[in-house]
Amino acid sequence: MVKEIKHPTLGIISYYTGYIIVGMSLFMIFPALVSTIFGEWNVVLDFLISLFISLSLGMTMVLFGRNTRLQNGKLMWKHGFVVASLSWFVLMFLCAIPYLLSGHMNSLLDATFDVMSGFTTTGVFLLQDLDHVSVGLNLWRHMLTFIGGQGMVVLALSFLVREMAGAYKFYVGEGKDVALVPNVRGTTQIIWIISLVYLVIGTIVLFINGVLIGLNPTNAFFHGLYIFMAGWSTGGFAPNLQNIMYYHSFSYEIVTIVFFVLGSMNFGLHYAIIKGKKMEFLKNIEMQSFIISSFVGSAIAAVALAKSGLYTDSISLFRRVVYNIVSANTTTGFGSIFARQFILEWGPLGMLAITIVMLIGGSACSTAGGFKGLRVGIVVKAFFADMRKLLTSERRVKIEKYHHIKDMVLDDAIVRTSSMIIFLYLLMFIGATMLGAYFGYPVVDSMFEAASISGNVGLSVGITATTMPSAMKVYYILAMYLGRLEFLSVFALIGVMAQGVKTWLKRA
Amino acid sequence: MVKKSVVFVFLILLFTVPVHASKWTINELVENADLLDGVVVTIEAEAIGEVLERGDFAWVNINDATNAIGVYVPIAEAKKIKIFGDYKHTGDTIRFSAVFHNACVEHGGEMDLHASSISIVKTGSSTDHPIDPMKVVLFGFLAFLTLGIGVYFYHTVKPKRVHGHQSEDETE
Repeated sequence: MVKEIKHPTLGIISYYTGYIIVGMSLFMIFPALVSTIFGEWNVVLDFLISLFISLSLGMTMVLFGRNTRLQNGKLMWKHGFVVASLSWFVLMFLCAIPYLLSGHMNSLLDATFDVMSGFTTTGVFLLQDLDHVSVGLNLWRHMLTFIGGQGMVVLALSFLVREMAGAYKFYVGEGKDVALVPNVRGTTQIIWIISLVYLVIGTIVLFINGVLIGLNPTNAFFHGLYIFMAGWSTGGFAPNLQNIMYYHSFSYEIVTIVFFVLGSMNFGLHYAIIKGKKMEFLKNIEMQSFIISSFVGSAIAAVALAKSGLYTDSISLFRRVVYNIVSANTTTGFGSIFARQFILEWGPLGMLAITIVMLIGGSACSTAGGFKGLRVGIVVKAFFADMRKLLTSERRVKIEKYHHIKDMVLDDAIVRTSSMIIFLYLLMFIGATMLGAYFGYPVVDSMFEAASISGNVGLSVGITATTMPSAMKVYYILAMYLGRLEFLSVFALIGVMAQGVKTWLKRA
Repeated sequence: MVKKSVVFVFLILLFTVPVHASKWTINELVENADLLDGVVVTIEAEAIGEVLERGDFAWVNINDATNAIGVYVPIAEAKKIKIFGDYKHTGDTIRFSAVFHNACVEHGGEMDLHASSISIVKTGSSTDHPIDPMKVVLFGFLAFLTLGIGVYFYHTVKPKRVHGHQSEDETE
C-alpha cells in the first residue's frame, strides 16, 4: 500500500510530476518497436527496462500525491514552476537509462548530459561512436529533442490528466507564454498540430531529397525523420558524426535551413500566418530582429573570412558561412564545417560574430534558445525610445509601441523583465566562459562554447568532449537547463527545496 | 626562385606538421588543413553509412576513430566496398591516396578528399551484440514490479476519476 502524502505542496508536486513521468515513459515504446522491426534485440531490452523503471516511478509518485485530485488542490505559480523543473530533472535521469545501457556512454554523467542537451534542443553530445549507434537509440535521441522543443510537461498533462485547472502555470513553467486560444489545452494542441503537420511535410521532403542524393529508401526515411526533428526543434543532432556534412548536398542544406528557420519562429507567429495574417511575418519584431542579426552576423563573418581567401565563390560562402551563422542564430547547431575550423579559420572577428548571434537566439515561445529576438528587439527599441525622449520636448508625450502579433505598448515592466532575462543569460555565459578558462581552455574557445551551451545552440569548437572536467559537464547541464526553462522554474525549485531544508532543520 | 619556394614549403611541412611515414589521421588533416590544402595524403579508415552516388562519382564517408570525412571517388571504386559500418556491422577498412581540399571549389567549399582509387585492406564484418543474461533477469523483475504497481494504480486512482468533473483550464 502506498501512503499518500499529507503535505499539500509535496502532494501536488508528486502527483503532477508523476503523470509527466508516465507520459514521457510511454514514448519509449516507439524506439522499442522500431528496434524490434530492425532486430536490435539488445536495444529492445534496454528500452523496455527503462520503460518499466520510469512507469513504476511515475505511477508511485501519482499514488503518493493522489489526495491532490480528491481535495481539488489549488495550484499556485510555485507549483507550476516546480513541477516543470522537477519533471525535467527527474526525466533527465530516466531518459538516460537507454543511453547508459547501450554501452555508448562513458558514465551516467555523460548520459544525463546528452539527455539534457536533447530536452533543451541544444545538440551537443558526449555519446561515443555515433556512426555505429542503433536505429532505436538514434530515434530516441531525436525524439527527445523534438518533444523537448514543443514542451513535454503540458503535452503529458493534456493527455493524462482531466482536471487541468491552472495548467497555464505549467505552460509558463516550461518557458512558454503565448496563449493562442483562451485555454492551455487548446494552445498545446495547436502547437502540437502545427509541429506534427510540419513533421509529416518535412520528413517527406527530406525523404525525397535523400533518395535523390543517393540514400537508400529506408535510410532516406529515417535520416529525413531525424534531421527534420532536429532541425524543426532547433536541436542540431544528426545520426552521423559528420552532422549535415554527411550528405554532401546543397539541396539537403537548403531544405534544413528552411525548416530550422521555421522552427525558430514563435508559435504565435505560425498561428497568425495560418489565420491569414501573412504580413505578420515582416512586421513582427522578432522576425525583424532575426533578419537583422543573421544578416549582420553573416556579413561580419564573411568579412573576417575574406582575409583568408578560403571561400572564393558565393555558393561556398553561403554553404560554409551563412549556413552556420543562421544555424547559430536560430540556435539549431547543424554544422557544415568541422568544429575546429571555427577556431582555425574564422579568426577572432568571425568567432565574435557567431558567438553574438548564438547568444541572441531565436524567437520566444518557439523551440529556439538564447536571449530571444523579442527581448533583444524590446531592449533596442526602448534604448532608441529613450534617446528620442532626450532629444524632443519634455511636454511631448509619445507612447512607444512594438509589434508582436499585435501592437503592444512598450512599458517599463516589459523592458525591465526583458533586460533581467538578458542579464541572467549573460551572467551564465560569463560563468561558463570563466570555468572554461579556469580549466585551461583558451578564452575565445571558452566563450564560443559558453555561448553555444547557454543559448542552447549546439555548435562546438571541440571543448565539449567526454574528456572535459566533470565540473564543466555539471555546469553545462545546469546552463542548458536554466537557459531552456528561462531561470524562473529552476529558481522556484531551488527555493522550495531550500524552504524544505529550513523547515526540516527547524524541526530537528 | 622556384627551388627556394619548394625548399621553404618542405621545411614548413617538416617542422610544423607531424611527419608520418605513410598515412594521416582525419583530425590531423583538419588541424593542418591550411598547409595540406592540395597535397596528396594517404588515409586508412572504416567506410561508414552507405555509398552516395552522384553520376559517375560517389561519396564515401569514412571514420578513422579520430573523426569522419567524405571521400569523392569514381563510382566503380566505391563499389569495391561491400560492407559499411553501422550498428550491425564494422565496415570495410579502406586505404587510399587522395588530394586533400581545405575548401573544395567543386563541392561548395567542403573540406574533402578526392581519390582516384581505393583498396580494401580489411574486410568488414557483422557486429555481435550478445544479450546480457542480467538484462533479461532485470527485465523480468521490472515487468512484474510494474504490473503490480499498475494494477494497484488502476484500482486506486482510475475509478475515482469518474466522479471528478473539474473545470477546464483558463489562461490567467
